[in-house]
Amino acid sequence: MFSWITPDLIAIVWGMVKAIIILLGMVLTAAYMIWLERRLLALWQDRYGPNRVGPLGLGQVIADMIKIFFKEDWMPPFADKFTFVLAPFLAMSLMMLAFVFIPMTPNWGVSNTNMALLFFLAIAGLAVYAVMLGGWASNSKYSLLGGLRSTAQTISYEVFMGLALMGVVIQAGSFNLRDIVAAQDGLWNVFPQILGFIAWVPAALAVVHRTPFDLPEAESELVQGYHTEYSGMKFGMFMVSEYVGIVMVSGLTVTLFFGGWDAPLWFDRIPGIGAFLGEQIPFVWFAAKTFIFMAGYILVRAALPRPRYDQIMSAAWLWCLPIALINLLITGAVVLWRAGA
Amino acid sequence: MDAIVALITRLGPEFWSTALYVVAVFAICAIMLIGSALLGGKSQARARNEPFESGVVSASPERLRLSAKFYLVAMFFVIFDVEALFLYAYAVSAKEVGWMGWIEVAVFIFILTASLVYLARIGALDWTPHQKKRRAARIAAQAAGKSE
Repeated sequence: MFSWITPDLIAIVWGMVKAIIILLGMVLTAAYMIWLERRLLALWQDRYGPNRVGPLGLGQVIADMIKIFFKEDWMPPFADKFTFVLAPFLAMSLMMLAFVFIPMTPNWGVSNTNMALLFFLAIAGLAVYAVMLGGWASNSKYSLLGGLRSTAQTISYEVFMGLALMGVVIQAGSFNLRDIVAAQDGLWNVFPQILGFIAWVPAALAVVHRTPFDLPEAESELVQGYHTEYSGMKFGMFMVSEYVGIVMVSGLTVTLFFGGWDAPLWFDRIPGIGAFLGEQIPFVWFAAKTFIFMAGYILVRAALPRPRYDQIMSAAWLWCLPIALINLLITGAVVLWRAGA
Repeated sequence: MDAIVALITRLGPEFWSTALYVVAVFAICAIMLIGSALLGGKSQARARNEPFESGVVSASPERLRLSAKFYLVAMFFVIFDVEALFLYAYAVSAKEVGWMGWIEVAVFIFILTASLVYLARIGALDWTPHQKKRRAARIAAQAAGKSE
């Protein structure tokens, strides 16, 4: 009766279940980033943060989510209707889509392809549209200025974002993220690729518009930047997309520079439990490293002031772009020299 | 039944998990938009349908004239990003093309850097009046030095 259930079919269904688990896990992590950020900022500023709803304030996210669903879905009569709705939709869906190729453990990860890194760069390029269309469609001065600033800043940081990652690609010889993780067995990319990592960090901050690169929404001068006219759930989607972006970029940083699910330091060589730490709990290592970078995003926001716009632009063009190019040349030469070609 | 299963399995698990992921992402975003549109309340107020300008009544059209600087940045982006694409192609094939390829890329990057230095020198990347004034003063000083 069930003869049509072949092992292939079971593999397909299991793969689809895994995809849904990964997606929901990622969205939940992003939602709880909001709670984590508010608590950590409060900790560093000597106050409590949200601590009333549920244990440790963990219910705050759920309460806020229910509340924002019942907010008025206001559409400004002066806005360009279609583009106005499209912008938050793009912002959120693109950031979630970029997670599709990130490998979490040897067996977990939605999919695997040889152009994974190119796909991420393409998504990062498309994400500019969300901000640009949002700023333009609002038909309001602050929105337009914020969107414009953000577009110029994001495309400036995109030029070297890909180039900063090319050293990693040269070492692995592939755009495939699993190959890149495999190539880091023994030595994480962050050490040989330290220049690339230095250029990648500002790009990673800028791609999700976090402090110190949140000039598009600098509230001291532009009210809220490109989402000044947004309210209710559409504003919420812009905000959640930022946190989804943080989770996604942190995961990507771990994959590219910090060995993915590889156990850190000498943990896999401890006698007795070394084999267990090295082989059995890859997801714990991946999650722990990703968490460190997510907390790093918050620490940067707590610690750094917002620089001037001209400083941000010259940092991109005059510092990070040359560093990324030099890194590319050095990596190419060292890899060829070691291969003895 | 077997025919359908054969059709499904031919595409492999990766295809189906990716397809489901993409569909689920769009579904979540659509649910968020539609859900809040259905659940949200409606209200009216006198001044709410005006563009927000810190409480000031808008005095000019919302589509501002933009600084030409932004177009310049967009053009640099197109130029440098296209050049970056060639370097992506080099990065995956670095080991195959050997030293010959490395030298060609080095020349390419040198030209790229030279154009970047040129852009910086002519002030195309300056954003503040302060930088512009300083540069103008230096050029004037150089011109004075030559004429002597």
